[in-house]
Amino acid sequence: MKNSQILVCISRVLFPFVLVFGFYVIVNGHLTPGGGFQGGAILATAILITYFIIPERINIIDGLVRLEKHLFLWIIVVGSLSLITKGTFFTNPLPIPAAISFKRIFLVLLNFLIGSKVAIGLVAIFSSFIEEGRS
Amino acid sequence: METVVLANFIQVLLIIITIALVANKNNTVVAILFSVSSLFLALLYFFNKAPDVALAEIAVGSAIMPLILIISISKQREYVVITHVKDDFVNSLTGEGRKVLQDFADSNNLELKIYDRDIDNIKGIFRERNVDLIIDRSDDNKIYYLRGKKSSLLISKLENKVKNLENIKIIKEEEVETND
Repeated sequence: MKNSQILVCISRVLFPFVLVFGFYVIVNGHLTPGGGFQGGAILATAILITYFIIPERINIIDGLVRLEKHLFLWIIVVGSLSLITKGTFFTNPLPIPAAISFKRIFLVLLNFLIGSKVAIGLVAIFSSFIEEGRS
Repeated sequence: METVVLANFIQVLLIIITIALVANKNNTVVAILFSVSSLFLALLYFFNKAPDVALAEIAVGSAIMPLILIISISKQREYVVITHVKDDFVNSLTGEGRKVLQDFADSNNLELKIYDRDIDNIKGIFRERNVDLIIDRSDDNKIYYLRGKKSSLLISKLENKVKNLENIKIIKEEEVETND
């Protein structure tokens, strides 16, 4: 399928900016509105639009789908760190009187993992939907 | 005070856009109107002090949902044909069956796609339902069989079109219930 030159050009210009905005929303998730899910959806949009318009440019879809299963394991591992220190799942494993700049590491890490998981999951669903019927 | 006036204006605009969305019959326009309406909805969320929900609404409602609609519209335009016949009937551009099918696809505003391999080699999860037409040939005489689903509207149109051609025969198949 041949796409129009305007679409190809605009998607090439827009791709890095949308990626940077998605990473910004994920990494600043504990300070500003947004977080893992919203940033992940923005990242997935960037990858999917480029894949829909220029399929040759995104050639790591198979690797991404494999990475998603590993990320699920990592979310469980990070969430169960607090089982060792505090005895419950999915709370901050660091002690309460510690400095805030030290305690926010947990939030950033979990936001990053959830953002990557959402982005790659949406990419996996939609790329199989786009490829449906192609041989 | 000004924010309240602006929010009321956006609400009225949103009602108008939603009525246009429901009343419209064109699929591509519906995709764009859906995107616009969810953009205004996100602005309303922001005025009502929920910027987090607004960000999710922008990401999902105005980017991913129109993408689903556009992909499904472009899927709808394809007319997938699988051929088991090796000669010039549909494989060359000047074949008789190719001309008929191309003419049929053009008149119905569809994009003709012909594959000469088996159904199992096509990528996809729902691959059984995706095929519109299968071409076979009887060994003794020169009759080409076109097999299609009985419930499809296009197959009766195609049957009406090839009614006076002698070497093409249409077989309508009942749809088989799948277990998934």
